[in-house]
Amino acid sequence: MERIMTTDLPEFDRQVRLHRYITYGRERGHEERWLEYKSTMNWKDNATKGKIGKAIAAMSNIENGGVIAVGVNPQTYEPDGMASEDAASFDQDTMSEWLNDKLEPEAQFHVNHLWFEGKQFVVIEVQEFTDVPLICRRPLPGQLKEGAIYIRGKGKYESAQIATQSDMRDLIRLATDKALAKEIARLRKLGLIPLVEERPWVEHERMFEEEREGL
Amino acid sequence: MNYAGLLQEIKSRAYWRVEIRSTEYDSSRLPNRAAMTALLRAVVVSFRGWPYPYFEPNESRYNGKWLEGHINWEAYKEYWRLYESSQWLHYFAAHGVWLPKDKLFSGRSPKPPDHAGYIHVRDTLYTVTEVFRFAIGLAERGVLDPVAHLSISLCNTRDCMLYEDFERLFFYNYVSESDQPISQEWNVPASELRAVADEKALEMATKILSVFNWTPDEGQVRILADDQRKLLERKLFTS
Repeated sequence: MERIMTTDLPEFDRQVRLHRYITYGRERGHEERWLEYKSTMNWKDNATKGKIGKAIAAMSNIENGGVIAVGVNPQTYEPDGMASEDAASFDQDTMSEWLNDKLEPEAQFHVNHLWFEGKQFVVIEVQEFTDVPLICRRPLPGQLKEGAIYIRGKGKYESAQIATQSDMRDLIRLATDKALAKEIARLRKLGLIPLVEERPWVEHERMFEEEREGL
Repeated sequence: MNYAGLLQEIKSRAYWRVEIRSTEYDSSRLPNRAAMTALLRAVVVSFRGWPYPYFEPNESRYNGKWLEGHINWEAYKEYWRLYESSQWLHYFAAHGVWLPKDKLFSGRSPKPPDHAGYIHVRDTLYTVTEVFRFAIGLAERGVLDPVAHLSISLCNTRDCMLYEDFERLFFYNYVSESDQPISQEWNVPASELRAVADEKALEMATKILSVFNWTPDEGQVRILADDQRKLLERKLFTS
């Protein structure tokens, strides 16, 4: 399933995609590295803050980010829904404020509330980090560890502190690629890398159209 | 042979137009007939008895720039071109608009009202899925690098009625009032196409169906996803 922030999509597409996140596990019988399910929980509880904070940090640190769907049983993948007060406790501003205190740099995420089969759900879409991986800067006793880098592992789909050489290598590569892309863009801007090899996309479009000869 | 007449016939009723290509034009991707033929032989898909696309090497024609082929047999009307840039262009008739109503709804009573044509829900899903699977074949042979562009349109659907042979037949409300082609376009890195194709095909088919005033709910989407899986596993005719 292609992962893009649904905030960038037309409303119809957005709704379809969010609902697909809810039913994805039931159809396939598993989570994905980029998709984590949580049973109903309330943001006011510290345990919830810890679990969601860890999951958001972990999803931020993988390529293309990920999605956390709350209200879906992580064992059976059944969309059980959330208690109303639990769903209402997930508020974008409140969560951002708390998470920005715990994680650095800032996590980029979007909280969506939706109904499905008469039940409420919260779907949190998390963007991949922008420049450097997210790190936990303030602990939450028993939940988040200061200085820890969380990641959604490749071998075992869980949000946990980075523990394997392979996951660390991926994370470094991701950060390096971003830095490199930024540097190339800077050099291009300075005119140190010529743009001549690039043909504008409209030019390609025009050539394909000409090839079709009006068909 | 001039296929203009066939194309005109296809366009006279509801029809599909499919365009698949890279986003980067390169006229040297398929330099000759042999390369085109070998590619098509490798990527034609067949999940339900009729292939996508209909390709018979001996019946196709090459003019130095593109290979073209056609079929005009009962409700099967197709015309396609594969260009040297690997651009794929395909026009084909929607099957339900060429079959006589009595044959299409044989054994059903009452028959649906008269309309310009009848578009089958699952045939739509299967068609889009087959197009995507064909595109995967192209992508995996490197001719859509770096980014694949897919454009699928269902055209000339005004007054066509959506139908389905579930227990409940759709009869009265699901009729297209649109004069515009129902078009879906998508760009995706060629290397990622396989991973997302089936999901995207389902999404595209669902959007196309919504133009007939039918938006499937989650339960219906699940049924469609299950039917799509059966198609791909070639289990359509088993329970």
